[in-house]
This record gives sequence, C-alpha cells and structure tokens, in this order.
Amino acid sequence: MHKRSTAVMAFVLMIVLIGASLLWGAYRGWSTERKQVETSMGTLEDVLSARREVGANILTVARRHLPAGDPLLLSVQEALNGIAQTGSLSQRARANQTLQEGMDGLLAELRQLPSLTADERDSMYVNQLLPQAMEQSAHLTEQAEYNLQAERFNRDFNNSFSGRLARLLGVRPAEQFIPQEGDAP
Amino acid sequence: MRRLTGLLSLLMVIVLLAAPALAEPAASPIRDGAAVLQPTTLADARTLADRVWAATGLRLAVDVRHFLGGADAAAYAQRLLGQQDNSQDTVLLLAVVGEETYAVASGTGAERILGRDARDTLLSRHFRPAFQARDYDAAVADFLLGTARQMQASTGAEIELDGLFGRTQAQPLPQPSTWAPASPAPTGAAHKKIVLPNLNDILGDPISPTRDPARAREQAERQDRGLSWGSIIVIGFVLSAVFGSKKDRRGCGCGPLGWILGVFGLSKFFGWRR
Repeated sequence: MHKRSTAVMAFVLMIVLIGASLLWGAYRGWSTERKQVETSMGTLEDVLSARREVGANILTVARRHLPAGDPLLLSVQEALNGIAQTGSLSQRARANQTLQEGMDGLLAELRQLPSLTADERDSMYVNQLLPQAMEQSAHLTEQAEYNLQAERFNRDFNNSFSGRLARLLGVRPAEQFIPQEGDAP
Repeated sequence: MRRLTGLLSLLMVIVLLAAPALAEPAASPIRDGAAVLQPTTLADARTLADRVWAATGLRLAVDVRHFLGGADAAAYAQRLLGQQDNSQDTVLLLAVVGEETYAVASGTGAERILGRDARDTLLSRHFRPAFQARDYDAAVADFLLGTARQMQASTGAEIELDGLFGRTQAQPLPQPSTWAPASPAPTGAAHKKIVLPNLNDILGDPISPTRDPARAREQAERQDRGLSWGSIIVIGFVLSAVFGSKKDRRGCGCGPLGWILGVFGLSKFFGWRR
C-alpha cells in the first residue's frame, strides 16, 4: 500500500514536472524567438526610409509642373508623413499602401501634362527612373527581413502545440506590416 | 639553408603576384552617378584633378546625382567631403540634376587657397548658368577649369590646362551672358531607355540590400529544429528511470532506447521537433 501511494505520488510529481517544464520551455522558446523577430525591425525601417525618399523625389519633380494645392500632391505628402509617424505597423502599412496609390496617380497625372512632355529630363524621370525606383522600393518593402520573419514566426506559432501553450502564458503573435481594415494612416 | 632560401623565394614570388590584387584601387573622386556627363568630360576631369593634385597637393572631386531623396545639398556635400581621402585638402562639387540644386564643400586646407568668396563666385559665374541651361558637361568643365586657374593664381604653381575639355590654356571661360535659359527638348524626342541599376543612386541615405528572402527563410528554418536530440535522449532516460524495469520486474519492460524513440515520436506528433 505504502509502495503504491509512493508510486502514485511519484507519477503525479513527474507529470507536474513534465507539464511545468513544457510550459516553461514553450514560454522561453517562443518569447526568445519573438524578440529575435523584433530585432530585425531595423530592416523594415531602412526600406521605409528608402520609400519616403523615393516619394520625396517624385514630389520634387511634380512640384515643377503642378500647383502647390494639387490634391494628389497633397495626398502623397500626407502619406509620406503617415509612414514616418510612430503609429502601429498596420497603420503605417496602410499609409504605405496609400503612398503607392498616390505615387501611381501622381505619375499618371504628370504624364498627361504638356509641360512635362516638353521637358525631356523630367519626362525621363516620370516615365522611367521614378517608376523603376517605386517598383524596387515596393519590392524591398515586401521582402524586408522583418516581414519574412514575422510571417514565419506567426505561422509556426499558430500551428504548433507549444505555441498554444506559450499563448496561454502571454506570448503574442508578431505584428506584421500589413494594413488592417479600418486603420487610418 | 637551401630549403629556407627556396621558401623565401617562393614567398617573394607570391607577394609580388598578389600585390596588384591586394592594392585596392582608390575610388575616383570624379563620380557621375546620374550618367549625364560625356565620357570625354569625365576623362578630362580626372586628368585635371590629377594635374592639380600633382601641382598643388589639392584634390578636386565631383559628384553628380539625379536626386538626394529630400536631403539638403549643402549638408550632403559636407558628408560626401568627409568620405573623401584627404578631405582637408579637397574641394568637392555636388550637382543634383533632378533637384536642380548644387553645392560645394571644401576642407580647411583647401579653403586657405580657394576662399569661400572665390568659390561662390566660381559657382555663380562659371557653373550655374550652364547648369541651369542643362549643359552639365560645360558646367562641370567651366567650374573645374575656373577652380584650377584660381588655384594656379593663389599658389603660383603651373598647371597644364591645354587641351582639356576641348579648350586651350589661353581660352577664356564663357561668360554668364553666353548661356541661354534652359530650353525644352523638341517634342516627340525619343527617350533612350534608362535603367536604374541601384536604388541607392537616388537616395540620400543608402540602404543595405536585403538578403535573398528564400535563403534567409531556409537558413532560419535550418537553425530552428525545436527539441534537440540531446533533450530527447535526456527525457528518454528520465522516463526510463521512472517507468523502466525494476527489481521486482514490474516495470513496463522498455529499456532506455524504447523511451527515447517514444519521446522522439511524441515530439514529431506534437510538433516539438521539425
């Protein structure tokens, strides 16, 4: 009898210890991984900075041919400010999306202007150089190290048993640079 | 002794062969990131920079770009100057074609020979008119020639200017009134295809290229395998010690290997190990 109760206690203790070690391991492992994802945020800031500079270059050319109060010009300026602000990542992603739409619209508007068509240099900028720069900066933003790491982290975190355990202990998924519905830049 | 001599000779041969590869070519101080200058202008500018350096010990540098991404031209010129070899004795001209701005920065040593007033006069008389007329070759040529002549006058050194930029030594620089305002290109002019080789060429703050995302993903997945083999073995032994065969033969009958394999199976099932 005595041996049996000791065995039961040992068994219960073992289960408790295994459970605790699983919980602790899950928490420590996933929170460490999340920190690693956050340390790569610098790569996203770099590419967003490049994106702002490309936008500034487009505005430089646009201001030579459009009035200061042109709505598209103001919209792009506002979107540039939205990316630079320290809002949530999803808000900045929304601003980035608005910036892309604004820059596309602004370049399309510029192409219609006779003053631009008559200017060989600015025409080259609007038809070739700046669209290439926009495309390259957009691609760099999508492929930024932070985005890839956050996506991978969230996929593994949500699909693993240990991830579910870590979630119970307060570890949250990484915020992705994706616009959410209802976010204002 | 013979072996030592042989080794030393081999070492000398290796060093002599490797020296050209080891010696890093100095970055040219004349840089046309916007590809608006003619090759002859670039060649003559480099020749002139070499002659000025040989005669006076001062360096001429030129950097032409399309855009600076909103950065201030004067501050950017100072930054570029700081990156030059021997920046104290360097005069750097920054021309930003797409933003229609320009700036000059010079080190303290260069300013003793070419003062700020003289520099500003050179810019306004011999650079700006051609720059605004979009004749970038003439703008750079006139500025460099004017600067070289000013340095010649200040230091008394002889600088050979004949034949550079298609001009003779005695030929005066064009006067500002010579330049017509920028005229638009004829309509319907065909644009040659311009390729942007590097996004950093039109940014004020260059960015590091991102790694190939597919490789980065593979590398991260390789590093992250979850529960290690060591952990599985330890857990297996622990479980074996608790539940394994006992003196009275009432254990489960499994040895440590069985428990290790069991833990491995569980880790795969629950995704603790990928």
